[in-house]
Amino acid sequence: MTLAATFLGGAKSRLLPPSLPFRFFVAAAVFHIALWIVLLVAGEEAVSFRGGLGPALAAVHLLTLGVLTTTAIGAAVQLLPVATRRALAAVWPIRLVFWLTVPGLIVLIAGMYAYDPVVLIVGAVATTAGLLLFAGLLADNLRRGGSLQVVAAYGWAAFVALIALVVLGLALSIDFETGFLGDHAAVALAHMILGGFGFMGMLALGFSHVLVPMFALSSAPAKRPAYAAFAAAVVAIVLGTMGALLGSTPILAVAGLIGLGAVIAHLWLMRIALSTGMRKRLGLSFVLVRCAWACLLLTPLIGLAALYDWAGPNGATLFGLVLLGGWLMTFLFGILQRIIPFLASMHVTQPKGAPPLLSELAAEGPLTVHAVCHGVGVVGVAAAIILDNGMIVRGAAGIGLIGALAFAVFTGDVVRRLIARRT
Amino acid sequence: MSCDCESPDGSRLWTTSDGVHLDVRGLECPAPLVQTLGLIERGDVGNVIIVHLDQEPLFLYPELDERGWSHEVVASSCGDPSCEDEVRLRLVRMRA
Repeated sequence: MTLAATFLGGAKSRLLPPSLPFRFFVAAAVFHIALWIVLLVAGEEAVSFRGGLGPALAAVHLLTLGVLTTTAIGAAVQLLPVATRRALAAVWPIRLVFWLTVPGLIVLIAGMYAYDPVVLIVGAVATTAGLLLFAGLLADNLRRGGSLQVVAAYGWAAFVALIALVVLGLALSIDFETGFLGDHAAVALAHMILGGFGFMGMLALGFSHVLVPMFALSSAPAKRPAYAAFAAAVVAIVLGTMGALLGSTPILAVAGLIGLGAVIAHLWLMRIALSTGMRKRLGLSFVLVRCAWACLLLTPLIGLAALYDWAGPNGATLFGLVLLGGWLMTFLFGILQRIIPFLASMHVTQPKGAPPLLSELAAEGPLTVHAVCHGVGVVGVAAAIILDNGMIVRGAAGIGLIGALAFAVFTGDVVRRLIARRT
Repeated sequence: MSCDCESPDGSRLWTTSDGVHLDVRGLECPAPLVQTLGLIERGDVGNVIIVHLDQEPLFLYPELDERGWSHEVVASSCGDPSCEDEVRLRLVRMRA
């Protein structure tokens, strides 16, 4: 063992086998392709989607569970132990999370697509078990890690939202068969708020406090305003969930306004991080991140407009698209462009003992194709929703599909180079 | 550069015969990365810096390469239990 290897105690001892995070990223790349294919097939239904079984609900869950959640799990199980300086308790639960969640959500989405509540419930039970196990791993690591207090606060909020989210999701699944819920649509809206703003949103905002300064080479945002933004986001999510469950427009409106304040505060902190950073040119990934931030700002505004019927007949659908596709998916791909090769580099040691340069592990061409096609795809679907035109969705989905294939090529290429350098 | 200075952000800077030392242990991510690069970019630190860290700074390496500095993980030899979990990184300027 070399001297360097002896002293690689820190981050490297907290690294998982690369097959663990990357199996989630590869699965997400496949679900990403499936998402655009379903939109290509079921464009007409998607433009005015308000809930209920069918291809549009399947497309929503391909995005939320297949792309966003799967990627979040893969990134969190690897990045969180490095950030908190506490290794995960064991490796086998992560494998179990994968084998419960990914097959489970395939069955769940198949049940949604095929209008089959029994298949949906079977998939929902497996997915719920996997997500609860992941929540346990997340909580255990946050509990043992004493550093990164702001990120940990967001992590705990995401944990609570995830528990509530999966409970409501399971209830909604069973309700398709039994009809035991008094107001399915109200619970579905609460489920969406907890998923989009609660679980995924809080993880995205929280990890931004480490990842954005790390990429820009700036100090982490000041703690006091960061906690203020966090508190506003939590209040907005709690009120939004209550407003949805109670069917109260005024409570939802207050939640939207507080959420807008939280968004403005977060973006102000991110702007300071970028403007004070040592690196000014952040490349294509931050083009996507900046577009995602624009959508984040639009989300509460469109939500408020939809609440008062000022956003046209498909305002609620547009709100869902801007939240899930515009903000979360765009942000996720912007960050993934950077962290997939970074995580790969952590697993490769060159003869001199240091990891290779990130550019040695990733091809840029597919990322450019993906970024352009992703932007055109999301804007096209938004235009289709506003114009209530299913054919435009099909065209946008075709372009989005090209982007998804390009991102899969990028992911596959990084995995190929990783395997080649480790053998 | 000979003082034993503790900056308001919690890092510590001192000079010995083997170079300038920067201790960023205990700082939250990404402060160790930013402090190290900030020191390099000051220009008055000589050609050797020894950075004391809690964990290996994998994200720092491409930045060092870009700035013309080589890096090497070296043995921690302070004899103090507080050094047991330390990663000590020796940086050498390769070009001006």
